[in-house]
Amino acid sequence: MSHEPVPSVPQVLGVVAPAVPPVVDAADLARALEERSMGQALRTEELVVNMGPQHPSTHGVLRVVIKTDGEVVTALQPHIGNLHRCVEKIGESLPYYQWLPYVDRMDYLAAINNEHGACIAIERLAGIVVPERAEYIRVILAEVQRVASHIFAMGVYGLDTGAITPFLHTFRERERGLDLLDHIAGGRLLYHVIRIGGVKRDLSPEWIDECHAFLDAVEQRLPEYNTLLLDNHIFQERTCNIGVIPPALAVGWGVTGPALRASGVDWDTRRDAPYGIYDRFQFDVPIAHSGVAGVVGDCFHRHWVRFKETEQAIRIARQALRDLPPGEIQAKLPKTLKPPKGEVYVRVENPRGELAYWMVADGTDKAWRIRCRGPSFSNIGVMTDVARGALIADLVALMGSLDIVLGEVDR
Amino acid sequence: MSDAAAPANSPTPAGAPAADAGPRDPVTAHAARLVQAKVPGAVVEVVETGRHPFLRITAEHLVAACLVLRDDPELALDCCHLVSAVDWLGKTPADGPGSIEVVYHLVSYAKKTSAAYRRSAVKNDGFVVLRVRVPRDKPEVPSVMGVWVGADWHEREMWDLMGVKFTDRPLLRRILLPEDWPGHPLRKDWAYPVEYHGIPIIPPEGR
Amino acid sequence: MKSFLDGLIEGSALLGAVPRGLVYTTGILLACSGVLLLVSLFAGEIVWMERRISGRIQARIGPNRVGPQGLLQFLADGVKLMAKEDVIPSSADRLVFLIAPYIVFTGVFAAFAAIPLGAGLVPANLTFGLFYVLAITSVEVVGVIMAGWASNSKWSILGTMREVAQVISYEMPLAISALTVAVLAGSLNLTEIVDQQQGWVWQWWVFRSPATFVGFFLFFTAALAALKRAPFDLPEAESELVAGFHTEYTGFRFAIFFLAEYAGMFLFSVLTVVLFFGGWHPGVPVSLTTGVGRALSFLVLFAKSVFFISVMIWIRWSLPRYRVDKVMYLCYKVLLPWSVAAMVVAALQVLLTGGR
Repeated sequence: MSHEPVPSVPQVLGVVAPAVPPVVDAADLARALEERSMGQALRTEELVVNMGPQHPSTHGVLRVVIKTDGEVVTALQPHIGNLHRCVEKIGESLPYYQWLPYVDRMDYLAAINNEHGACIAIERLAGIVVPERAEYIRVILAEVQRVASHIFAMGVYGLDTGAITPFLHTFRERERGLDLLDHIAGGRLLYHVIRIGGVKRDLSPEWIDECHAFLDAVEQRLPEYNTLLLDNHIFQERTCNIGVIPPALAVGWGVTGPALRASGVDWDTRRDAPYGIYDRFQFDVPIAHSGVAGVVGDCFHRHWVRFKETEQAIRIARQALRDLPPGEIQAKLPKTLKPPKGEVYVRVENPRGELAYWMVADGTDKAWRIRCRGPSFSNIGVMTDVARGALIADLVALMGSLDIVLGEVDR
Repeated sequence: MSDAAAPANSPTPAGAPAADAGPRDPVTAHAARLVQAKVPGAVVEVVETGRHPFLRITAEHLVAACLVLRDDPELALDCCHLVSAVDWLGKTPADGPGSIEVVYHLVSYAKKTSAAYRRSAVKNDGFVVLRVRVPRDKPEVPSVMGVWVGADWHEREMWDLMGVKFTDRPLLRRILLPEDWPGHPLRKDWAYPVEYHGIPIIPPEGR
Repeated sequence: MKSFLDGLIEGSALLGAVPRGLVYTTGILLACSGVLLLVSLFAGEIVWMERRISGRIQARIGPNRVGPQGLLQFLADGVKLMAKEDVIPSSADRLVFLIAPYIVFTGVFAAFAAIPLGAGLVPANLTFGLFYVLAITSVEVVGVIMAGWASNSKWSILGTMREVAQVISYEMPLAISALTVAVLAGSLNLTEIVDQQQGWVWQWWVFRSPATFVGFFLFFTAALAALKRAPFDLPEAESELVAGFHTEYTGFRFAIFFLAEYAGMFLFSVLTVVLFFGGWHPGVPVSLTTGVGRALSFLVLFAKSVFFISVMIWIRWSLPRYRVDKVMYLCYKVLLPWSVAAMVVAALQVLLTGGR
């Protein structure tokens, strides 16, 4: 992997020129249109359109200003920040215990995974040893959340490409997953169940049975979703060869998670830099290869990787349920947690990519500095380079395939 | 902190406290030697051991050092994972007005996805951490956007929230906060405004 | 229509006393209102059907509260929409914005004038009925252009551009594939086309020639596109263009657009049945021309068209949306050559066999 340093920065609507030309067949269309209009008396004007913040397929309050030539996007600039809730500032103002619930609100579709990372970071700062059972419960909850998040993303991607039915079908299964988490945490979306030094509640045998039933149900339904989307000819036409992110560009932009693996980069933090107890489980990391359809790095493969990862998440959750040891679920902690001076950088694999926490402790009960790296924040940036020359419909397909959560982009 | 010890069969005692005087980090050591050799005067301080080894680089040599680190075949740091900054106001009295530190977490996917790494028994994050210390009253750091394109938005965020001025780059403007927001909120001396466009602002401790 | 009224006048002493012009005018107005009411009612029920069927497809229930099984849901919806504020954007071209929905509505409803809804149940038995129907439905595009342009909204403009490109393009395969039947039948009169299909199922045009068999699929696909139904719902693609040309419409005018859309579904389903699937003939040799037979013939036609409407609904809720350039590709590189080929085959068949 090598990088061309960005040589010049011509500003098109405040956008920096792409390091790699977009490999979209619509680009040829754009070029053809441009060539044809050259030297002709007919001058067409470009249309500047505000996509969002109240657009149906920007997945939240993202605002993208796009310049279109007919249907072809010639330039775009995402504007974020509508959902900024000062998680980092709050982290500096509140004790560690009290800050934890705010983490849930970043990636609100994967709250458990956010908590998992934050707790690991604080535990490493303070030197807390988590009981064995709690570690397994964390993995089970995190993987159930990952399954729920991935099938949500798959369904919503159907919505973006114009198929409404898969969305409701995936929601039916996701609802079961949320019920599971609801039973253990008392909340449907934001849980605050993983606590510093352990977890809040233990798993009951009934819960474990229900969890098995949920995993079986999802596994059974996955082929059904695929008949609606992945194997569908129209869906393939909409997503194959669209929004191709070459591996070098993906790495350069800091794209992580399924989007990175869809570009063919074989990296999963759970396997390659394990946190918690992820090194004890057997699972595969699905990497995009061109044997399926389309080319590696396109929208289709991002969806495909998500589908494959759901299978693997089910596999991990089953192993964790099988190996669940008896014992304590919460380490003994002082009333006020005062980690010693130091800092920590922890990255965890969220459903959307690598979430990282950089924490600086100064010996008091509040962190001196907390910095969160939201995966969607980095993933969305690549859009400016890839989407140029695409059609509006492709832009929607690209945005949906990156599966951004604005709560995490803006934090 | 905790009495509960990890069971003996656990291959990794999860969350176990790591000693600060840990083993020497070979990657950071290599990076330090490399930068010292190729960009003289760039490295101010090297910490090769402990939980968080790092290189402290001078601001004016930052881009040159980054290019060396990125293009070195041994390191191949192709991704700037995170650009962050911390305001040390009141923590480093020797600095006078205090300092702001910009921290770069760099990682190599080329190395981390290699077959050699797959085979290795030790799996780690393998970050190379660069730190650049600049005075609080003139926090200017050259941009590394030309080295890693992904640093773009991170730098904008650090300008927005911390007020670090990244030079030699286009479009250094606020990314999360409104354009007319007063000040940079993550500065330790930032005071809550009384109101914003007629909206009263109540700080967490009340008014 | 005139002959029907003449018959009434001859048969009734009361009507015979009234001036003929008045009888004609009243009769035509009554017929128009009847068709309008009937079609509006059907359009409303198709909305209900769509919502219930999509509910089933999507593992949910759908509207079932207003009336038996939610049958009167469309009335509740209508009342709700009428009670809403009729928002006109300040930058809109006011007059054009206001009349655009009615143009769309007129385009679809005028087509029903020549559509036979049962044996003898045709408001105007035109000799060029098929031509008239295909021509008058094109008026709808004008209304959509007016709506999109007058809204003065960028999303509406994009939706309108798609609509114009798509609907006008798809009229070609639509008309040509319909002509396969017309060529073989030797007539553009819809009643005559239906009458030729009397008898057993294999007398239906769709089974009588390979040209019409292919022609049916082409016609139905092109009809989906002309109706802007998924997978060709690009002009109003809500995940891309918010709501396309009717983004800015609210209340009653929005309801009119919807009514026109569902009436269009009914229109093209009836047209499919009339051209290819035997019209009001049930597929067994019985004569449905008198008295109760006429009512039955209407029910047969209705049942068949409900089937095709269900297929349209089924397709819509199963498939993702095509991309705009693929839609045009499908039109010009797939449907158009195939429909021309089908018509050439039909013409050769007429040449070689004398038509039958």
